[in-house]
Amino acid sequence: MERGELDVTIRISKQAVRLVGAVMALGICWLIVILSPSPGSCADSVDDELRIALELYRAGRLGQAERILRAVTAAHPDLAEAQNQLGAVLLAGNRATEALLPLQRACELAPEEFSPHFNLGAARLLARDFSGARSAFEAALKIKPRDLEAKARLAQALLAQEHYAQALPLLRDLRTRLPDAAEIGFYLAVCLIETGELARVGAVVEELRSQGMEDSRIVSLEARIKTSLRRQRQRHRGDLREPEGENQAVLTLKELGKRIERAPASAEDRFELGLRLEMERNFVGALRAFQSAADLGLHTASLSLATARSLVRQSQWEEAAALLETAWMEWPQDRRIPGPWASICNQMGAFDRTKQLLGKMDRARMSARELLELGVALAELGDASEAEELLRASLERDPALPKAHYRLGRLLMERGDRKEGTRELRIYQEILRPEKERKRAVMKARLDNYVRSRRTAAVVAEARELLAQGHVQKAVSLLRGAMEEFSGQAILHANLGAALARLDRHEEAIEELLAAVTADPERPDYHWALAAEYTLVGDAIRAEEHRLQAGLLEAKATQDGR
Amino acid sequence: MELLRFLSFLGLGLLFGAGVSAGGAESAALKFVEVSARSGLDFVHRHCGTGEKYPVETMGSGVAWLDFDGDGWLDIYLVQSGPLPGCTETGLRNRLYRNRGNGTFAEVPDAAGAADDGYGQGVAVGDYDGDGDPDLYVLNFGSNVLYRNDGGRFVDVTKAAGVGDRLWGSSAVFFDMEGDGDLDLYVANYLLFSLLENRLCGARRTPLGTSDPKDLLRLKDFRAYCHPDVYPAAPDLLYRNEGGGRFVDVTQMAGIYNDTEGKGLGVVSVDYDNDGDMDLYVANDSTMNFLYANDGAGRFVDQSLLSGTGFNSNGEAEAGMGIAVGDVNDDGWFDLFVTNLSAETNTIYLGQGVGLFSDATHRSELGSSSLVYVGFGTRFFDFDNDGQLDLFVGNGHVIDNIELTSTGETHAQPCLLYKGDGKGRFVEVASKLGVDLRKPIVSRGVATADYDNDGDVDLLVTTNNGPVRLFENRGGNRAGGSLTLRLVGRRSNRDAVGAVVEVKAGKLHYRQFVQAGGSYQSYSDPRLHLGLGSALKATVKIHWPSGKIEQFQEMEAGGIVTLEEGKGITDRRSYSEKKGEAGSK
Repeated sequence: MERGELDVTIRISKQAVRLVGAVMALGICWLIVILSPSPGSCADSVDDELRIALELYRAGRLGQAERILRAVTAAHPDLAEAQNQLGAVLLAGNRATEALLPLQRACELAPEEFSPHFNLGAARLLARDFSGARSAFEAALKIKPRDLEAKARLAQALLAQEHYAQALPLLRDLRTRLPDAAEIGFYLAVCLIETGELARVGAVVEELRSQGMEDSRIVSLEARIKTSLRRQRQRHRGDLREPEGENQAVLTLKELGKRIERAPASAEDRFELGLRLEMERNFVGALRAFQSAADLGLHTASLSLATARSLVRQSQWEEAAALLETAWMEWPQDRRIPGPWASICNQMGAFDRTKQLLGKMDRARMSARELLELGVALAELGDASEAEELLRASLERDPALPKAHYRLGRLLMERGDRKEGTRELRIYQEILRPEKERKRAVMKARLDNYVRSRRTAAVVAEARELLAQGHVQKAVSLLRGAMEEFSGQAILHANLGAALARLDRHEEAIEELLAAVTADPERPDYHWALAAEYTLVGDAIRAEEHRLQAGLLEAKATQDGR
Repeated sequence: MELLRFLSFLGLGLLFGAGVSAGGAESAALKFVEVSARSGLDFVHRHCGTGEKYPVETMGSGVAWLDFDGDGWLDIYLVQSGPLPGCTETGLRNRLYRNRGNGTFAEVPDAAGAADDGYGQGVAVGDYDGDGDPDLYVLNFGSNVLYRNDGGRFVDVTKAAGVGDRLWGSSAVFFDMEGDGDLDLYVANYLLFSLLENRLCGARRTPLGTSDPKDLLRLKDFRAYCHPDVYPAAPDLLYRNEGGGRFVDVTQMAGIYNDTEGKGLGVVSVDYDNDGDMDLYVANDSTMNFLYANDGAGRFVDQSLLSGTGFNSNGEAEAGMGIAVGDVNDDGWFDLFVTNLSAETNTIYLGQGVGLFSDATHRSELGSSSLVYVGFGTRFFDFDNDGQLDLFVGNGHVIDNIELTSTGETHAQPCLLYKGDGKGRFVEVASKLGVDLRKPIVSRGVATADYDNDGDVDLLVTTNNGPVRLFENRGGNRAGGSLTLRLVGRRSNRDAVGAVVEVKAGKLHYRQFVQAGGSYQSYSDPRLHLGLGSALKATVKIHWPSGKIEQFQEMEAGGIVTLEEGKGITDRRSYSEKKGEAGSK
């Protein structure tokens, strides 16, 4: 399971919980229609008992309904409608695992009926048996191919399994038929992002916005887009690093944390926890979580890859390489493994190992990255012509691999072909130019800020000194005077805000601090100060907003650390 | 059976681990011994950190070997960092220790006038006024300071000289950029950072020794030093020596100016293309390293990308810190070695001629041994006098609380000492040369010198927020013979910076050059130490920076010789046999 997709899994499972209620209402209606005993088909008393149970269910008296249905199913174990109704009642009580047995029985007894399959799918969804849910909903749709609810639930099951490409046509169909269902639009956007159809996402997100979807969910989509873009870029760069964490990760970690605090963490939970810790660059914690997931028996290629990533972060290169080598033997078809494994071997200088294993692969089926890493190994081992061939082949697969262009350029230069070598090096430069330009712009802005801040530094220092001495009014005057000269300086606004707060002029302080935040939105301390001021004036909502923003910025700042 | 296997393994260890074979002479007794305390070096670097994690705290500081009083014994100038807001330590100043010539040092009061109290980082040495004594340029976080040496007494001439740059300076090099016989000055600046704009960086801590998910969730934030990406680059500077004690900033005019990419930490001047003028190489942290080719008139062209020295072989900019230069494979082209961050290797670029270099890190076997270390100061030197360049690397992490976020890395780290084979390959041998080199320290500056004039090269390492370490080479002079040359320019710059010496001795044939700069924030023994192996005599050909070539036949091993441009040998001293005895003239 890829790291970027995990929060979907959780949300989907929560979503499933929310939706099951609605599904139940629908399911029970179907029960009435479909499972109404036909005249003479069943004893009247059984018929009556089922009707009573239904009434009790409607009244929310699930316990009494269950008692009746258990009695009926005990007396008539082959009565499909009773089994189905019992399963539905248990499901309504969030007892999905218990509901599975009667619902499976109902399906066996009435395989041509839609409702038992649908309810079984819902129960499996709630029990996190996503592939089972998928089969049940597919069976239900064979009976009623146009049923929108079943399609929606099937899409959910596919999403939970990260089968985005398969979920996509279902969600497209649903979106066309139910344009006002924002939930479907949300998951359609998720699928589009994850299948790389980023160009179409914008329109869907705009629709969701106009439909009034909560900001936090829109933000989560934006974060997912960023992650996807970064992942694409990194695939181009051909390196091992995973996308950097998103601010959203802080929130989902909290959600996951709540779940873990409530109950013993499963191996899967530990794996997910590791991924989230990794996103926050807590590599020690991530490694421990991955290792504890493995200790509990989780054994997947994804876990091996994640553990290897964390080991590399801990400079445990040999261990990472060995782990991936084992994983590769175990999951030889998993194409995620060879590239990172070879990167690690090459970084360690173990070029022979790369040559030995990647050299055995069918080159026609090798990915750009695999060809590149094999090319690197051969170049280092002195086989320049073979290396050149491989590097060219990798660039045929992916012409935007800067490392391949650079390596090829150097090989050509060393061979004496300066013209071609220079050409490759220039391509390498061009590929990196947008990122370089972006960094240059950021640095220019910081440079301007630095120059101005040096000039205002003296004023700020003097103002702080005045504040320390208790001459608050003097500090206010000094800072206001300085702002006439240096407008838009966040640091001046922030310090003036602090001084005004000392004078209990909180509304003015807020004004200044807002100006500081506008000028430099990335300073958590400005947001903390604003949160404090809003608290003092009784605006708890805004206080909370800025507290959250400050927290997110600090989390981001942690990612800047080496 | 298990016991037998174990014993045989031990036997192998003893057989191969005893010593280092050097130049045909067995050097089992060669070792480096830490002698700082007994030699009277009591300097302790203080970064004055108070938890604010100002990035400047973790980068210093440097050291210089210089004979400030002209007595033939190399003295030590140590750079101190200084007060920061909230720090209560006082009296933090740079210090000067005079070499008594008997293996001990005595602190010179007020550092003979050079006791700068700025927040010190690096130091460069050069006789910029050509009066025969070494002058000092101190790099600070704040104004840099130029001290003119007036016969053993330093005078602050920064203002008059016009070199009091206020940016965060790290390393500098005196070199003659246009061959006019005086020394110009290149200053490698690091980041644009001010104490008022200190960014919050850090990570989340996980309690150690647990894998319980509930415990893993109980995280605490902590601060750590920021990545340099967080701050803009501070542009480097080039000053042209105008004579009369004045320098002029010619950075733009000379084609050097780059205000976005260069986060300079180390710098060296070397004639990499053998065209007779001094080029420049700058190690930048996380941005492309710079190779500036000199046109001979002091105008430079950036050859970083095309030469292959800007990035490693994967096209990645690494966290360049220190630089070592030397011809490690004796092919006639100087090679460049750069120390980098952990998870990167240190990188060696072998000169290929025609202006090209090849990243030969793994072929040279310098890669995997450096992956877990953060390298700073570094020097090529010949520790066993076999005529082949060896390599020393001082290590120490930038982040002082790295143990909180990494199980595989530590703040203090052992140094690396590689033995070279003269063909460009190296073997790490530190653990075979005594235990002292392998003790983890937070290394920064590294400078080499034969401080006891006994015919082998010793090591001096500064540590961040810790004591200076002097590692004495014991046995290097028994492993092979050597000759030490002190070159004095007359038409060339007086320090003869850039002079190339070709040495032929027995089967040995190699080149060295008089280099200023290199390493990290530090300055080494300006004399050339020529390992001669078992040869008793050497022929030395000197290519002076002025273009003059002089050859000296049959020079006898075993002493320190002063050669003046156009005048020949003007002084010769035998190596010191015992501590306390100066050699006879």
